[in-house]
Amino acid sequence: MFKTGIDDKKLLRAFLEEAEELLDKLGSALLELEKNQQSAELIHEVFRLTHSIKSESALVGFANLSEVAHKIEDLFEMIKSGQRILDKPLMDRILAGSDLITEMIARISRGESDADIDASSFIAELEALAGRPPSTAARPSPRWEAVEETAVSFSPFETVQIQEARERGEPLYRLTYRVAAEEPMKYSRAYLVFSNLEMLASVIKTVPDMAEAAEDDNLYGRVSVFLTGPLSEAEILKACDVDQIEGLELSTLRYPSASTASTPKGEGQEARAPEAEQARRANGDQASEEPKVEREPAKAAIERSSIRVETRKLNDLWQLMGELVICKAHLAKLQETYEEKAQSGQLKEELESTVDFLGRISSGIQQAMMETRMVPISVLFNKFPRLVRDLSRKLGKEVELKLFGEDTEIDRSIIEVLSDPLTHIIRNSLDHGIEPVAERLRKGKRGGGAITMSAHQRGGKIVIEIDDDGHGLDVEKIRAKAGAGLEVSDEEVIKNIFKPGFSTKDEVTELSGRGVGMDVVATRIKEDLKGEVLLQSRKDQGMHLTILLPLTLTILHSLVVRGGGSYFAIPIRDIDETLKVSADAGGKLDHPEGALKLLRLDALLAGSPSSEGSGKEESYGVIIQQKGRRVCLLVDELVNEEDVVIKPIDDILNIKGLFSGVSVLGDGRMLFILDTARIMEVLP
Amino acid sequence: MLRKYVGFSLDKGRYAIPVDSVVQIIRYEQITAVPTAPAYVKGVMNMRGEVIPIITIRERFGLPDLEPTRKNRIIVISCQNKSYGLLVDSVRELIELEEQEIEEAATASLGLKAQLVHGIAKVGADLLLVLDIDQILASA
Repeated sequence: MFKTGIDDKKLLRAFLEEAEELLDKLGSALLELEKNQQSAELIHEVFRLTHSIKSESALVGFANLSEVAHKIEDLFEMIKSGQRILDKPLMDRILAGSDLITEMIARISRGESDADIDASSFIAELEALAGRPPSTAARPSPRWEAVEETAVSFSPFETVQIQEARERGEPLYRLTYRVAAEEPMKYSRAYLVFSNLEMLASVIKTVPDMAEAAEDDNLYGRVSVFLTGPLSEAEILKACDVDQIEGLELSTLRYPSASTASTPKGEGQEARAPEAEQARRANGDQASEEPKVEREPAKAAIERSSIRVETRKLNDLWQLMGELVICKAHLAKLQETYEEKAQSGQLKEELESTVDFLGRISSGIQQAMMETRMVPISVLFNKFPRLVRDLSRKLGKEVELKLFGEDTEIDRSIIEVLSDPLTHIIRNSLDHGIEPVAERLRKGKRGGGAITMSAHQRGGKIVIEIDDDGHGLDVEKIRAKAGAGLEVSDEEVIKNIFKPGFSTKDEVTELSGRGVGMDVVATRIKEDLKGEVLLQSRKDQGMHLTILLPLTLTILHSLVVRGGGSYFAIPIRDIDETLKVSADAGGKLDHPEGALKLLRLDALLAGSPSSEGSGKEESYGVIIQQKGRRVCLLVDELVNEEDVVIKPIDDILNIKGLFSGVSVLGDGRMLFILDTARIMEVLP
Repeated sequence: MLRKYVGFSLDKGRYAIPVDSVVQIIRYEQITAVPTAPAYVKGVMNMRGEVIPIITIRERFGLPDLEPTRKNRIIVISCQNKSYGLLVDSVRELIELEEQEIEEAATASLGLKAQLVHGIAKVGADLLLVLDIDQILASA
């Protein structure tokens, strides 16, 4: 089905993009919902998301996937209409369903088929859950309240109606009434009130829905009506003057709004019928219906103001932007040359101001382009609540995850690489850091542990901090394992856990394994992301991990040098110092911090590391350091410091792997970016 | 099936590659030599922000290596989403060939370069070597 269903790769790609976004949203909505099971807004959100997944996947022919989404959607339809209560077992099944969907989409993105996963038992299970008749009779009456609250959410159309009413300056009312218990024809009685109201005002919504024919008369024992209109409370109450109708509660609701000025908020609160107010308090339902309406319009506005763009197109633009910067630099150079020769003052000035203007435009574009590459870190953070929830259950621990600074923007390419290391850190905290409840209580801590993840931008760096309140690192164990003496400071001892193969956990666990740990994290962050990791730990108080990352990976602050006729960029962060070296220095450089090996860069690249001069009187030395090793590279010229835009280098240009990329100079010449770590590796 | 090919020359020999792999044909301009690169990589060129390797197949076909001039052409080829520049003497023509016009090359006569050649076609009195782009880039 997969093979024949989709021959259009583009369609598939679009589907996967869409699906992944929907899944992300579904994941966070479900977690929120778990915490707040009565939220009508969240129930509606999940319903909407599963509905989208169902239709999108059916469109491209993934029937199995579509079926699973459909079953969840059905369940939420029932929850929405109050026919089912969302309880814990149901929530677990729904989460399992979302896992199933995730797995199917992962398979599809690997080019496999969703049909490979057997979802039949799950589907049957959900069908059974959905098929259970609405047990209104068995439900204790106080629960009515809860059911009704769950069911209130406004559709986009209803939201628009509400907005329009607000703009007309009409109040928004909620009227609740009961039909006397002895009345057999509840629907008809309830309908009388409804139809009276319809003649007077605009009824936005009724719960349960009056527009649909009565299936079960008992459902209409209690009805809530949301209505707007230019009428007073007295007029509304008058319309409800129908036999067998009792328990009238009328309240004026606050409008969801950005500008409170035009809403009847103040008078509404005063106008609230005292008995209604009382009823609300008794229910402990503190204005819970207001937030429900609140978000919809705002969300719609956000969706309208952004569009989806293929990454490839952004990359193309990025490339062109790079060209523009190069072209501008070239023009500036020409201008300099011209100025040396030019006689005419006016022409000179005009040229100068034009080049300046172009410079401003191009840096403006560069800035704007940079921003298109940035995504909020919530994209990454959002997967952790689920991870923490599942793992802590598995480990029998209680852990709360707090996220801060989720709107911090970070380069898309960094997000991709950062995902694994962060996952590892969080797993480590859960597995090794946070103690089991009993142990925590013994130590006088709260039974539930906490992990905090936060992100913010400081200077030119992104700072990600992860805290846990577990038992911290066992510094003495690490000290013993590392064979470090007592004279070594704790801080130094801790650094050992970033060394390859270092692990102190005695048993191998399913979660963290053995030996593969923080060293992998440190390596990825340092090498792939050019970042730093700092770790602090206090016994029984927890650990504090700081990750510093560059804002973007595509621009590198470098020293441009010339050697053997080619130009190279050396990352500034790897350079200790630069100096003049005389031709007769031999193979060694005397340096206050110890003698250094001297290597000619061009010779090193040619594969015959030597320090033989190129016949010149003197050359320049660039002392680079990596992983504690230092070496002095000899080059012909130190050109300048420059922020170079890194472009990937093709393998056939990089047989020895000594370059980490290539860049283009202002005059169009290529620049090879030296991979200093690799250079250290190939040193004789 | 009728397919189109771009015909080019290296010294006196005539060669062709399928037109669908060709992105554009440009006049040779100064390229940057790449330290550590093998001999068949003549250098790199900056094309609309993409840094593309310029390769030559002269050596592979037993021809002497020449320093390129403005008379040379670079055929920009796209292969698996990456671009390469193929340095040639000149681009001669766009020709259409039926699949059956391309005969399997007698591998013995071609020796080492056999795998680079998809087949041989007769065009007038000349022999045209139809090259296999993937093989050329793979062996490169």
